This record gives sequence, structure tokens and C-alpha cells, in this order.
Amino acid sequence: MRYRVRHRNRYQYGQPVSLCHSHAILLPRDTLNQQVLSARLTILPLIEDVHERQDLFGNRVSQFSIDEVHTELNVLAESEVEVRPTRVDLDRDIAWDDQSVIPAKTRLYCRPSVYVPMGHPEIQRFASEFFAAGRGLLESTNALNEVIFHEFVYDQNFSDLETPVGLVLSEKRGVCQDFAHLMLATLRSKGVACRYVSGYLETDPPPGQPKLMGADASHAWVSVFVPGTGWIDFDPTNGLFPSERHVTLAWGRDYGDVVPLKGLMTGGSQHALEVSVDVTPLE
Amino acid sequence: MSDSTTQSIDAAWETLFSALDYDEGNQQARWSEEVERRLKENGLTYQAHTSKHRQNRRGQLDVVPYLMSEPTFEHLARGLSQRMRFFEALLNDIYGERHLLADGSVPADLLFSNPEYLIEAHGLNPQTPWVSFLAHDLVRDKGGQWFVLGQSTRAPAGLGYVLERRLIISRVMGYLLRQMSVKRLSGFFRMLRQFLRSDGRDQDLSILMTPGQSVESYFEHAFLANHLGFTLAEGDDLTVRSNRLMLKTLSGLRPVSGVLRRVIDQNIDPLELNSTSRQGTPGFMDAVRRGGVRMGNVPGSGVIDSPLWMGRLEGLCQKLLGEESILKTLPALWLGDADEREEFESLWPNILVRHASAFPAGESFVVRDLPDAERNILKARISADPSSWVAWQSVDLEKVPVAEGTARRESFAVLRMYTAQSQDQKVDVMPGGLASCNHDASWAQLRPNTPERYKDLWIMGTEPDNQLSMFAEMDAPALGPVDQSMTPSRVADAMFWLGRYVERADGLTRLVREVLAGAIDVRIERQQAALWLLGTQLKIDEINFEDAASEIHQLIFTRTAPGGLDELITAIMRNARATPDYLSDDAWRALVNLEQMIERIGWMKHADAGRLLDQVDSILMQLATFSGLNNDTMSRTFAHRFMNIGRYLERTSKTLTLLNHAFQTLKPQDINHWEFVLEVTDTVMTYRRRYRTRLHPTAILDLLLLDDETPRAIGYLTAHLESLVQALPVQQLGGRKTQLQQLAFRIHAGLQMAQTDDLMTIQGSPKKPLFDILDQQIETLSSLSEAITLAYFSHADVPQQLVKVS
Repeated sequence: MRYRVRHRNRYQYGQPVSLCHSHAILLPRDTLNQQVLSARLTILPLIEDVHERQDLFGNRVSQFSIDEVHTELNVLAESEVEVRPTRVDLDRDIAWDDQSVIPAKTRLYCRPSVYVPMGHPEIQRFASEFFAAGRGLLESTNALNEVIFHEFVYDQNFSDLETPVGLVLSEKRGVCQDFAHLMLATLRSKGVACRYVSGYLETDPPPGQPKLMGADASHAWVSVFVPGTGWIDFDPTNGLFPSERHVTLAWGRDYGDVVPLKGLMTGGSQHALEVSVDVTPLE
Repeated sequence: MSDSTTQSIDAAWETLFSALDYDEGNQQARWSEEVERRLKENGLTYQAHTSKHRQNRRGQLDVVPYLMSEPTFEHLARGLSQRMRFFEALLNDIYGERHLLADGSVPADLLFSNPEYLIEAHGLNPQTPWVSFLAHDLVRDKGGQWFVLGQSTRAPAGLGYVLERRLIISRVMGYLLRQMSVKRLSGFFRMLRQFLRSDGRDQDLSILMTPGQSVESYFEHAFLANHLGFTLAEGDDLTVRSNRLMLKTLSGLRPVSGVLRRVIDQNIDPLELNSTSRQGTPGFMDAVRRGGVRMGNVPGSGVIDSPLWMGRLEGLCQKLLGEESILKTLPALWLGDADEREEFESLWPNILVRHASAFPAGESFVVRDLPDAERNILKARISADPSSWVAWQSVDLEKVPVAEGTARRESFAVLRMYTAQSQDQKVDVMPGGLASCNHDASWAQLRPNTPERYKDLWIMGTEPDNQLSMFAEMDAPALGPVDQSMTPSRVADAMFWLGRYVERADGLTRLVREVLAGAIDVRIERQQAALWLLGTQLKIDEINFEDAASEIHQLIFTRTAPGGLDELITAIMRNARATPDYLSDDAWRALVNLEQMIERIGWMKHADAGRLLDQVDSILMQLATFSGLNNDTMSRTFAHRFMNIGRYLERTSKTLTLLNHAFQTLKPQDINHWEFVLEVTDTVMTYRRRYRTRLHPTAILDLLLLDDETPRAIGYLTAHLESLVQALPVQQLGGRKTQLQQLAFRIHAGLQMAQTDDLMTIQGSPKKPLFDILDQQIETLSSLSEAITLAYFSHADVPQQLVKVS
């Protein structure tokens, strides 16, 4: 499938801002099944000097600063991507506790991170429900993915960024970000290498298919490293394997590594934010 | 070690001991007392620099130094220089190609468990060395074998203390240092001053970045910055424009070329790193990344501070440099490795354990001393995350003598030594340092940062070093004159308010003194005049005795009463602490005394008025001492100028208000009241000398408003205000200077045209033009204050975070 993605961020400030430093991760990256045909960032007030670099994870980070007085900031990311379908072969599984073969660099994804702390006893107990001795990695992860989808309530009013994963587990509710973080914490408590993936969903489903949860904003899911096979994506919010309806933007240890737009400004006082995301098929 | 070395060190100990043992050891006791006294004296001053007072935060200083022969020092220096080169190579690989990670020489979990590992440092590709400053901790075992215990990039942590302690020791026993040819430290510090200059350009602006007065070691930062000739700056003093780091100064934004920092890696940039920290500057990492600034210790270099590396450094040195490591590292076990974990289990509980965090924060345990329950907790914690822990068997440390009264006992020592690397990668090792001592060998090696006492490290040269004097150790920076306009805006701001608050405290204390004196006077007219005076301060027309008593009570005894003494001294100290390197030691002492006096008066609620008056008098004297010291000892810098502007503005405004109130409410015959007007402005003597008449309002007006020779007269104050303001640096922002100049001119010129006859009747009653002038002066004064704030201090805005997109 070929998509056009438009991700618009609009900040309106109560007071003029005289200086603002920003980092944006809004331009999608290439993946094994995704090719970025074009991508660009438009910033208002007009900024010519946008510096792009790759971070350790290979994400595209755009850096810019605005040192003219402004009361509104618009950042529009537009891209065209080609996504090919993927198929997960659940039979090509390995024992989940066979982690001796995780490459050194990938082991970064086994460690705790800001939004994915370790050592939570409830999460360890929860993990043991899926990762029994002798079970397969894909098999266990898929069961976990299904349970989060079926037993957890998608609730936009429940959580914010500071909501700990322990609470998401005990209350069994949250949004895509919470489900992804909980799934990562569960997997990492068993030593599985896994990462947080940010991206988008096709906004309007093809005829006959249900609209996916989280389609009107940025979405988040999980990718698991399977030794011998590679990275396999899971979407616990929708209980499925992401394929050609998911557009990948970036990945990292957790949300903290892929924040779409960060900024520090002088002035501004109160500010309001509007975000809109459109993912439309081009064929 | 050669025999001659052994001989010379033995001879040195003999010389030292015979000096200490003179007069049956009383010399040692006297010196110890002297050192202790000097440390305490400094300590008092230094404590005042931080807002949190802490007792005994620094270990004692032993009069018995740690002696080291020159050949031993040179051996260690070679080893430490090699380690500087090694760490450079290690950091280049960790944050660059990552070969060591791929081939397993650096285990993935060892690196990723390291709390100081900074993924944002990947791709920084600094154009400068990763590490410019490094502190090493070293120990020697009984057999004379040296081991490195650890290293810290948070250097120059303690450098200021090294200097302070050497100064004290050389003041107390200076002739011994000369006699024993002890190496001087000044060469190393001279080198440091140059280290951030790649090509010695004099226009380079180097700063020492400090977290500010909230941290305990703030004094040390100020001390060191001053000594190195660097500008002390906090994160808020800096800003990044077009990827260049800039200092906000009185003359606008000035590019910073070199940064020596005491802000830890994680806190240096709230945009990219720890977003909750207020110590950094947004965009700092981008400035480093795009080559806009030279850093002393590039962010990310802190990764080498962790003890996790201990057991692996020698192998990595061999691999990276192709050289055998000159210095051994303590053979520690990393518990993330299965074999090493097994060895650890077999040694339990005769083992020392440390967590991955770098030294100051890292938890450490002497396992055999732990009760069973705690041992089990520790074991469980290690099992849950073994790769975050290291362990080693306690080293059998050599014993060193420490002074104990007139005798000596034995203790264990860890040496802290410093290395610096210039931009062209030339390494220098400081010929000195500190030894930290602990009576317990295990704790000595686990927590060298919190010793029972410190020793000065003496490297004994084979030939006498040049004439050693106190000032030789402290010699002035070898730089040209410092550009005054580089003064950070924050400093000018703090100085301005320091001046205002000191003056305000002076005014309040004077008022309280007069009112108290009047209130206990037997003459009823004096008492009423005292009430009138208090009303002036409180802006109340009528006040009775009871209310007056409670108001005075509020102002001097009640903590946090608005405008009260306690509030004023808090404000004075806060602003003084923001500018520690601009005040002299004596000025600091005066402030500390002042703070104590004001604290003491808080306990005098039930004292009689006479005793209270005495105390108020001493406070007044102390304020005068502080002001006098600043005028005598502070060079005429911009900072000083801002303090005086603050003082004059405050004093002018006080006197104007007083005159306005007096001429509005008093009649010519209110002699007692007029007397108070002169007393509170400290002009009784001047009046008598000049007019030789009884009090007359017209003469008072002539003296207090128009005279330009009396320091408390408006005429004098405004003339000085004008010249101070005219001499301020020109702002790059157009237009404002002109407005400032106009205001300063207006406030002075407004008086010059005035004639006493136009303002007063012959009988001594005010005419309307007097009040017009007073009102106009008051208004201009407040505009002037606002204009100064706008032109010079208006950077106070603190950056705030955008709400995150979900």
C-alpha cells in the first residue's frame, strides 16, 4: 500500500515566545517492509535552518530553533510511504528462554528505561502467566498481545504520560502508549529484547473492515526480537500483527526516545496544542 | 624502587617527624590546632556561600602530610597519563564505531547497565578530547604495589579544596615545605587556565558552569573560577543561538568558547537529556554537536566513572593501545559475568560490594559487617540485576601515620590525584593532591569521598623548588585584564538588589533605633515624635503606643514579617550567594556576623529596651562595616557599580519619602520631630556645624534636598546616580541607553534649578512647588529603576517545556 501521511502540530501561546529550541521526530524511517518515498517538514514561523541527524536507533531527528518573537508554532510533517504486507509464521518459533543469541547491540532493548521500569512484582507475576517453561517466544508474546487486547479497556481519559505501568496493569485500562509500555515491561522482565515503535494507522478502513483504535492520532506498538528471525511487530491495542495498515515512524526503548516534538521556550506562559493526523491511501 | 629513593624518603620522614616532635610533640599539637582554627575560619565563610548550612561536612586536615618521592610520582604520572590516552580511545569506541561491544571485549550488559552511559552522546564526534580533566583514586598495598581504585570525570571536584588545604598547610608550616623541596601546585593551575584555549586567543571567554548555590560545593566552584580567571555561570546565564553557546552579559550576548562544567552530564541540556533539571541550558548538546563550544569533559564521558569497569580496564588498555597498563586496577569482579559471579559466591561474605553508580552516589557494602537480614536483601538485589554490581576483596592497605595530640597513630589512606589534558592532547599531572584517611581499611577503599580526615600530598623534589610563598601558590591569572562587560547579567542583578537590601536594612535599623530611643525618653514630646517617625515608615498618619509596640515587635522579631529584619537578611544573603566571587573574604565575614546578630536579636523578645538598643546599634555598625569593606576592597567593576546604584536608588527613595511626609505633616515648631528627621538621616552633626542655629525647616530642606556634599542628601545622591548610570556599558539593544541616560540626567537636573526661596516661605512653611519637585523626583526614580531592570536584567525568563504530544 502507498500512503500519504500528514501530521500537523499547532501550538498557540498565551504570551509571545522569544526563543524556542526544538527536536522533532516526525519524518518516517525506512524499514524492511516500508520505503519512504518523500518526507518533509514545514515549520511556521518559517525556518530555513532545520538540521537533520540520525540518533542511535536510526531515527530521523530534526533540530531547529526559532529566535524571533512568535505566538504560534506550526509544525507540519508530510510524507509518502510504501508499505508492503508482512506475514508472521508462528511455527518458526524458538524457546523464549533461549536468549544467549541476542546480539550485543540489541541487548540495549533488554534493559529497563524511563517508562519501562523493572522489578515490579505484579508485572513479574503477570509475565509468568505467559512465559512458562518450554513455551515458544512467539507463542507467549502472542498470548500476551491477545490478553491485553481482550481484557484491557481502551480509555482515553484514564492515563497520561506519568501513569505508571503498574497502574495500567492493575486497572486494566489505558491507551496504545500504556499498552505498549506494559507489554515491554512484561517482556523485559523475562529478558526478552523488545522495543517501542511509534507510527500511524490508516485513518479510514477499507470497506468491510473495522476502524482500528488509535487511528486519528499517533499510534504505538511493540516489536520483539526473535533470535534467528529478526524483529516481529505486535499491536496489543488492536490484538494483531501490524502489516500494511501500520506506518512506522520511529523506534526506541520507550516513548521517551521517540517523542514527536520536544521544545523548550522562553516566554509563552500557557499554551494550547492541536494535533491532527491523516493517513490516506494513494491507490 | 632504587635504594636511593628509599633512603631519601626515609630521610624526609625523619625531617618531618623531628619537626613535629619538637617540644615533646607539642609542636605537632600546636600546628594541629592552628590548622583546625584556620579551617574553621574558612569553613564559616564558605558555609555562608551555600543556602544549606551543614556542620562538619569536611573532614579534618591532618598536619602529617602524605609523603611521596619524586621517582614514585613520576611512575604514577606516567601511568595516569597513559590512562588519559586510554580513556580517550575507549570513549571514541563506545560512542563511535562500537568495535569493543561487537567483539565482546565490553560486555553489552556492562555498558548498558552503566547509569552514566548516554545514548545521546553517540554521533557527537567532539573536536576536542572527551576528557580534559580526570581525578584518580589510588591505593598502595602493604607490599608497595599501587592500584587504581577508580576515576571521576566530575573533576575538578575537590580541586578548590586541594588548593585551600595547601594554602593552610603552607601558612602553618611553610618552612618545612621549603626545606623538604615540596613541589608547588601553581604550575598545574597555570596550565588549567590555558587548557580551554586552543590557540591562546585572548578574546576567548571561558566559563565554569555551576549548578548554583543549591549545591554544597558551590563555594569551591566560585573559588576555582576566580582562581582560573573563568566566569562563573549557571545554566540560566547561558543561551544557545544559532548553535553557539552564549553568555548573557551586561553588554548583550557573548559567545562562549570554553566550558569547564560541574553540572553532571544528564543535567546539561533539558531539551535533550533530563528535562526536569533546571541546571542546564536548552540546546547545549546541539551546540556541542555542531562544534560551537569546547568542553572540558564532553557529555557522555561520565560513563567511565562507574566502578563496573574495574576488572576490565587492563585488558582493554592492551587491546586499544597495544600497551601494557602501567598502573594496575584493583582486581574487581563484575557480577554480570557468570564465571566472575561464581567466584564472588565462593568469596562471600569476605568481600566488598559496590553498585554501578559513579562514586558520590554509589551504594557500597562491607558484607562481613552486615547483619544476616541485610545480607539476604543485598543478595536478592544482586540476583535481580547482577550486571549492576561489582565486588572485590578488601586490599591490605599500607598504613600511614596520622597526628593524634602529641603522638601519632596509624590509619589507611586513598590518594586522589588530578590529570588534565590540553586541546592538543598534552597531559599534565598535578604534583600534589589529597589523601583521604579512614581507620577502617575497607571503608577507606569503598568511600574515599567521606573520609575521617584529609592529608596534603607532598611530592618531594630532588632539588628545592623555586622560592615558595603563599602568593606563589596563588599567583594571579596570567591573562590580560578581564573584560568588565563580560559580567553576567545575573551577577549585576544580584549586586543591584544586594545594594538595595543592605540599604533597606540600614534604613530600618536606624528607624528602629530612633523610635526605641524616643519611646523610652522621659519627655512626652520625644515619645510622640518617635511615633510620628514610625508612622512615616509604615505610611500611617496616626499611630498609638500599643500599635507602635506591636509594629516594632513585628519588624524585629517576627520571622517572615514583610519588610522585617529577618526578611531583609534573607534577601541580602540570597543575593550575596549569587555572586560569591565578587565579594572579598572580609566582606563575607561581615555578612556572616550580620546574619548571626540578626538571628540573636530574634531571641531577645523579652529583653529590656536598653539591651535591645545595644544590639540594634551593633547591627547598624556591622552594616556599615560591610558597606565600608566593599568600598575599600572591591575593585571598581561593573558589579560594584550596580551595587552602588542599588544603594543610592534605595537611599534616595527613602529620603524623598521622609521629606515628603515631613513637609506634609509637620509645622516649623515641631522641633522634636525635625530632630528625628536629621537623626534618621544621620545628619545632626552636619546640620549643627553648617547652620549653627536651632532647627529650621528651610535649613533642613537646604541640607537634605539640595546639598550635593552630604552623602545622605538628595542632591549628592542624584549626582552620583547620574554618573554611575552614565558609565554603564552600552547595550546592543538600541535606544534603551538613551532613555536611561535621560532619566538619570533628569533626576539630577531636576534639583539643580531649584532655589530654596521658591520652595519655602520665609516662615518655614512649604510652598506647592516643593511637593511638585518631590513627586516628580519619586516618579523619575521609579522609572529609572524599571529602565535599569529592563536594560540589564531582563533575561530572568526561565525556559519552559512544551507539553508533550501524546
